[in-house]
Amino acid sequence: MTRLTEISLIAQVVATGSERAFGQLVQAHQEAVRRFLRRLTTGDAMRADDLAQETFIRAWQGLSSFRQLSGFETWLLRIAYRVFLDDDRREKAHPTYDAVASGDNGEKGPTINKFIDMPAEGMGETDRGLLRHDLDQALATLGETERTCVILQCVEGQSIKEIATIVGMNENTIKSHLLRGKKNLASYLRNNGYNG
Amino acid sequence: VARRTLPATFETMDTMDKNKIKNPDRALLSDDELLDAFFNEHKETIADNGFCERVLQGLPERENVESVESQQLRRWRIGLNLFGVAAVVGLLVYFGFFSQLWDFQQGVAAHFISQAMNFDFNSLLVKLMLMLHRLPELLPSPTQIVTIAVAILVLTTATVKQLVDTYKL
Repeated sequence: MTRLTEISLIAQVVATGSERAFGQLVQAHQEAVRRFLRRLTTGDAMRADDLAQETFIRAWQGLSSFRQLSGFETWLLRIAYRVFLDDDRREKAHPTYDAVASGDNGEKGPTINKFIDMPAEGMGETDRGLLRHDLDQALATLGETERTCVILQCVEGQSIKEIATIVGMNENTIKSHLLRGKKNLASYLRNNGYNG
Repeated sequence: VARRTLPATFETMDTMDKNKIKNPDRALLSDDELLDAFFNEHKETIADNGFCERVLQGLPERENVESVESQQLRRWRIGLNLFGVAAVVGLLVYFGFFSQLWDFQQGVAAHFISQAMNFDFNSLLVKLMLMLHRLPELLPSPTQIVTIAVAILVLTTATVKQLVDTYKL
């Protein structure tokens, strides 16, 4: 989708409340938002999709406040990050049965989901499931902010300026989080046989 | 969606599986290169699978959907405008603008009162007659009238637009 098309769709939604135009925007950006949330939730696809849905609803409600100061996707990822933080806070305040059963008291880092979507057929799909699990396991070794910064840069390809906008921190803080996060992640990968 | 327990974690994965995703050339890779290679291998594409449809079905009505964020922004704007007005008034008071204005107004009033006391109604009548006589010369030309009308129209439109943008009327 070109920038011009995107601006025209946003204008349609703001001016006329067109659900069709908003649907096209959702279609164009659902992958980035859902992937970002899946990584933040360490692979919990169902929770990530619920949060993504909440993200798009908030975007729909607040689209008139979008001032084009950042890209639309950056704006969506910023909302997604806030939605995730709200949900995370809620979950820590009122732990679910699963979290209690797994011994996650909300004070430690994230735990990898014991359940991930595993397609029943085909070895290729299983491999992909394992790869995703590796990715989430590696990312779970990082602190929350480091993880978010690394995901945004390495998975979503956002610039440091965009990451600063999404996370709401200054660029120097982001740079130091990225440096530390990438160093820890690389060392984790090397210790687990990813360096030959 | 069928959810199953993962058969192997990263640590317990057997070497065969690891080798599939492992590149022996990485021994000399820097942190950035290693991470680039790792994330490239783990690139994930997510199919829509009815997600957009679910989002569209769950959208609330668009009436009164001003977000908390934009409500706060609007309140901030109004607050800032009020603060600006208060600051300007404060500065004017501080520099004695209003006392000077009051003195000036009193001077003007005194002048008018003294003029009114000695007012010559005959000279006013003569001046009015003269003005009526020269009225056709004082009226603006059609071109001037059109120019003034266009200027007023442009200024009004700009002001209304500014108000609509600011307060989202």
